[in-house]
Amino acid sequence: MLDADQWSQLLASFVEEARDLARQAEEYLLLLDTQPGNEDAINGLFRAMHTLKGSAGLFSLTPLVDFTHRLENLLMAVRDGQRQLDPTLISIMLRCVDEVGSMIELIDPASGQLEVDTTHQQQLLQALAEHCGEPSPVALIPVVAAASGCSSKGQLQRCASCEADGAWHISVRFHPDLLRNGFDPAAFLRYLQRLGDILDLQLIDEALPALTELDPESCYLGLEIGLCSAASKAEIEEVFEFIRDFCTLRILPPDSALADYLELIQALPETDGRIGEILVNAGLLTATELAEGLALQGAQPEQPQPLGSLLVEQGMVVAQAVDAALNKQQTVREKRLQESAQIRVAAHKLDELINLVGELVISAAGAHLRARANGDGACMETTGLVNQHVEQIREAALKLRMIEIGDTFNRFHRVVRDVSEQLGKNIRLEIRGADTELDKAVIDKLGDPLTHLVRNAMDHGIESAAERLAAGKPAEGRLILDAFHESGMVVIEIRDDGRGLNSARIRAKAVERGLIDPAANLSEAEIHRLIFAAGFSTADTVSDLSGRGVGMDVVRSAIDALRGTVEIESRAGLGSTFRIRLPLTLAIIDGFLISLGEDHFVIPLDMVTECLEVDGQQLTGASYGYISLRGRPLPCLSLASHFGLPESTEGRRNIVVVSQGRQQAGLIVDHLHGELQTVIKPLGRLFQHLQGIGGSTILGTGQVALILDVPSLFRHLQQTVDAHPADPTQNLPHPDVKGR
Amino acid sequence: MFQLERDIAAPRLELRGSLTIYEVNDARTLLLEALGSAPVQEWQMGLAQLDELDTAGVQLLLSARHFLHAAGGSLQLVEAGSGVLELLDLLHVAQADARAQC
Repeated sequence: MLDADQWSQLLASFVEEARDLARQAEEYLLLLDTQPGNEDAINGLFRAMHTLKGSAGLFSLTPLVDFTHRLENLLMAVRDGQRQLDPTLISIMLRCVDEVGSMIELIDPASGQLEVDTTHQQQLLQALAEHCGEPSPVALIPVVAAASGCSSKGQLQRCASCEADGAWHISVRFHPDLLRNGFDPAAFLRYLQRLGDILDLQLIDEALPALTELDPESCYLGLEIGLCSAASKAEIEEVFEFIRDFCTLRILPPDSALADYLELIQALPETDGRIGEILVNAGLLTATELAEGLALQGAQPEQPQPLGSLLVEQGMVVAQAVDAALNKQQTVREKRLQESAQIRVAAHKLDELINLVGELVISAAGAHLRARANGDGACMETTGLVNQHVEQIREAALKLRMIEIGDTFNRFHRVVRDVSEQLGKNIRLEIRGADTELDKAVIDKLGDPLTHLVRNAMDHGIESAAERLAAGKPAEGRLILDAFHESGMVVIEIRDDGRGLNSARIRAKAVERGLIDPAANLSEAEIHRLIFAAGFSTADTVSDLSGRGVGMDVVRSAIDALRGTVEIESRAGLGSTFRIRLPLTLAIIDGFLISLGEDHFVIPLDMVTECLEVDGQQLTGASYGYISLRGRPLPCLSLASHFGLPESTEGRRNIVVVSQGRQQAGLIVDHLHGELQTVIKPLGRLFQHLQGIGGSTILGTGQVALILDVPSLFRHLQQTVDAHPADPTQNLPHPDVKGR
Repeated sequence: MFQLERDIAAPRLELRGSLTIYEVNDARTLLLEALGSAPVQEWQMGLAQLDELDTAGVQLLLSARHFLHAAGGSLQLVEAGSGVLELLDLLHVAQADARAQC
């Protein structure tokens, strides 16, 4: 028996798997929406529902089993070509898949109980049934056998064309758990009928115990089937693909060698006589052949040579055919191996590993420092090597957490479909850079802000078809989700070809809300940034989707929390782009260590572009100012006065030039210490409001260094400049700038 | 929901409702009770009011038949509705006796 812990672990992995399946189902449905005839998608959808039903059965989640069972039945009809998946049906199915998804979330992780809203489910099933023109969803779907071109169709006897095409012999023995897992052999038989005519069928019930000993939920049955079909072996195997794990399947092609039939007889658990009889009855063997074959085997009892090789020797089977069959088995096996080459690992285990690697980075740096202090050359060399390896481990460990953003992007197909339906707009979603990798923690937190931005673009950005046509644009609006790497950051863009941001309206609204002074002289970009202010909304009517003024400021704070930035590019009438820049990972960064007096700070290395040395005398001591960098003004911020630390009195000062997007700024510091790997430790709750500090780290010496939050420093600098829009030359320190 | 109605005089069992994987456990108990209550005889089983049947149900009926056969009795399936008959036909179970009565 499983103990409670094991059980809840199993349940947790089921929930995880079920979520995946529900998501897959959704993706397939959306694919079918654009390509109605896509068989892969139909099969995938069916498989997803089927697996879900089967696994739910293992956990006795009856409501989920029942519900998916209904969907599966419908899908089976679709797969068998009796139903068309039209857009209305897809819409209903999508709602059903949603219901499945919410059921999965409702599973109580402790007890494994599932409470469901049966009325809602009934409504959905009702809608499905009504759409299909059925009084109620019925499990049994009458099947019209596909034409096999057999003249004695359905007459259960061999005909002339059967001789030509030959009849397949299929032996299936079911696993006891088959029924319990929600599979019904009858469904597979019906499906098999599509491939051809079942000429002969024997239900093997020899293993069936009497009523008193019967476990009615176990399956004791087997089937011997004679099938007249032009289908290939692979096609027949495919019919049983869903129950591959729950049955033993043996398929003999038409006109197989005698040996194969004999081998089959032996391999099957029933008495040789019974199966032999079936084969003889089916006309696959003659009684003489059977008797001779069995005798031949019996004649060599000392060396139990496999029948196959025995018959190859005797020239009854061509060796090549055996090889071909073996090769095929081999490739199938390899394929299955590849499929299972992924391991699911609990996220907390990865976090633990990364944490440990983080500690290792710190202690390795400590060891290196100590070696350097002792001046022991050999020791330094060794610690250097250790450092190198630690760095590799760090990179490998971080890569473990990287997942492709495609999954997150693909979810928006659904959002776009639903929202465009709701808004009556025609919008196409394009996805690019789906293989861009990003830390899982970042991706998880990205869903909400992306949803806001996508909805916003559809609601406010893209015009109605009529407006678009009037503006000379194609009626179909385009929304592009794009992801790519740029200088150590991941950039995610949400682009639309709508009307762009209306600067005049944003400005008017901001004035009305008291966010800006009516006389303020703002640049276009500054006006656009206003939409991120809390409580800002320009929509004249508050719609269901957006316009309640809670969206954009939430987007910004979510992105801020990820140490990212968001940027707007908008051209009136042509569309707008929201550009989110995010760090690749949240855990460890390459940092640049600087110090102010005794205090150490780390600047994310990706943001550092160059370092300059200036004469301290020429700095005014103001907390900000400008210097001239290659003829261009570079705004500078004195970190010491920003953080309220004593100004250094040293003669030479250093300026670290940092950049973010196209912005550049200089940070005035005392000393530069060079690069180091930094494990980010989040700040305690008490310090979270600190402006300009993003986290802390521990140096090899055991000292604590604070990590600068450069984007927030940029914002601070911007505000200071805005607050003193006076002549910049007033503060210009005219320093002696030399590039180093 | 599976229900069983028994007429010992005939002797005949009337099956109602659905007999699927969800009901087979209960149905087995009811069947054992019903078949065990009378001395072994030639039973008829009426399927006219059986709405739903799946392979698990068929398996149970087969097992009941084995049970009676072993004790020297018999079980005949009669009056199957179209849905039920379709499955029995598909599995080639009892087509002779059920069809004859329908």
